[in-house]
Amino acid sequence: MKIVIIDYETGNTKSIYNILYHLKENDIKISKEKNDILNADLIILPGVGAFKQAMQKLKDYSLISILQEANEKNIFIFGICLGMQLLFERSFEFGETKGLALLSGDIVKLEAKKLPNIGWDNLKINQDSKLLKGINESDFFYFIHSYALIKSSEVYTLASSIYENNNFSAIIHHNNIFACQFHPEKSAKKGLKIISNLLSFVKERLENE
Amino acid sequence: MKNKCRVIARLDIKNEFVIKGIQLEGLRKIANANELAVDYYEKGIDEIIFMDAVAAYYDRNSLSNIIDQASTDIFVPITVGGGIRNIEDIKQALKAGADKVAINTQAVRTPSFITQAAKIFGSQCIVASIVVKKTSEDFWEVYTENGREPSGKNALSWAVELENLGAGEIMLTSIDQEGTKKGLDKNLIEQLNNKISIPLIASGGIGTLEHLDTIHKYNLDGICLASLLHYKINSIKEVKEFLIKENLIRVEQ
Repeated sequence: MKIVIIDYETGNTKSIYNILYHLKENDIKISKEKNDILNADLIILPGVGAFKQAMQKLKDYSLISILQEANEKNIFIFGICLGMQLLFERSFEFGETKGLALLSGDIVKLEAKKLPNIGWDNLKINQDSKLLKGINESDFFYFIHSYALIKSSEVYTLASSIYENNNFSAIIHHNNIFACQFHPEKSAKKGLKIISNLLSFVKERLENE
Repeated sequence: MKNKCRVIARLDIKNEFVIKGIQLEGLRKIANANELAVDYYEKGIDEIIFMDAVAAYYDRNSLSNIIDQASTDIFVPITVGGGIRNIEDIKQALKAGADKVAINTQAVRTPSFITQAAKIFGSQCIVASIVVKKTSEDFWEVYTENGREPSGKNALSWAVELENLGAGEIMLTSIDQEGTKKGLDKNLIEQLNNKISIPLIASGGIGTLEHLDTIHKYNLDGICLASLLHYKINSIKEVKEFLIKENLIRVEQ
């Protein structure tokens, strides 16, 4: 399976590479090249930092149209943290910024006394999914964010989480797109399980084609 | 849902070994850094902080190899600190596999560095490290150079300033308590936490499980353990079992 981690200087690409390598994947590219991305079986969009700057980097590297094209080709896309947020229509961080708009919904600021939300928290499972195999509501995942997808289509949200009374989407899935607000690559064994489930899901789909 | 407190292992490194001192002096070799870090990860630690204990002498951070290795085996957040002097240092640390950097001395020298770093890498990457010594009633002085140089700054007002500059969280180390195993400076923690609205991690002084009571009383977001774990006074399992009664920590199933 060809995995491409998008390299746009906005994310911990090495951590993601490391966890995939740990899970015995051997065809992993960290790239921003159109050819690599459009020939991938699975694209991973990492993201750490601010929405506006991230979209600017994607624009600078001509990645917006490439990612939209990849989506149209139904290539599997997995967004992590800011990478999840970028998939949506817009964010209200530092004014209003347009996202990739691969999914409908807005990213808004968490209403809380203490921000960012940094730490381990549980999930509330909304839907059954192969991505959630072996995952329970007593498991913890590592979150670090101040913005989130709060009002989202029920159809997208596989699992949600709560921080200071904000109920937000923690894992979403829609057709070829998956995403996590938390960092599965930093969530120890259960984070590894989520990624492993994703890889199995993608492999299964590819075999059936 | 209550805010969960992160149990963090703090590893002070010299020449790829974990060292431990008392009040940041008199360093002793404890264990191989990587082996210890992986062990803590496997036993359920929430985060690991690697501090370059001799960075001040060389005016740079030399932990790239350790971080590089750690990030291939450890899948919880990694912070690196000690000698982070400029944007390039941060870039290198993150490239090696760190998720966050801890900055103390350079922030005191050039406060705008925090703002610049937060703008480029995001606030969540920037941990402002405040190292203090109590000099009089209700006055804690900020020290730089791994606890060697007094700065004249008041810790409480400096914490507020750091938040305004863009730091994502504060790691507070009390020189007086560090390595003594006498517990945290509760007065300091209470006063400081009341002034800021970003997460606060306390470091220095935890020597028994009972000292962990401070977490509940003063709403700490993270607690750094060094002596308690490195000298095997208690295991990570025992720490978490102690904290679990307040439903304040993460337990791996």
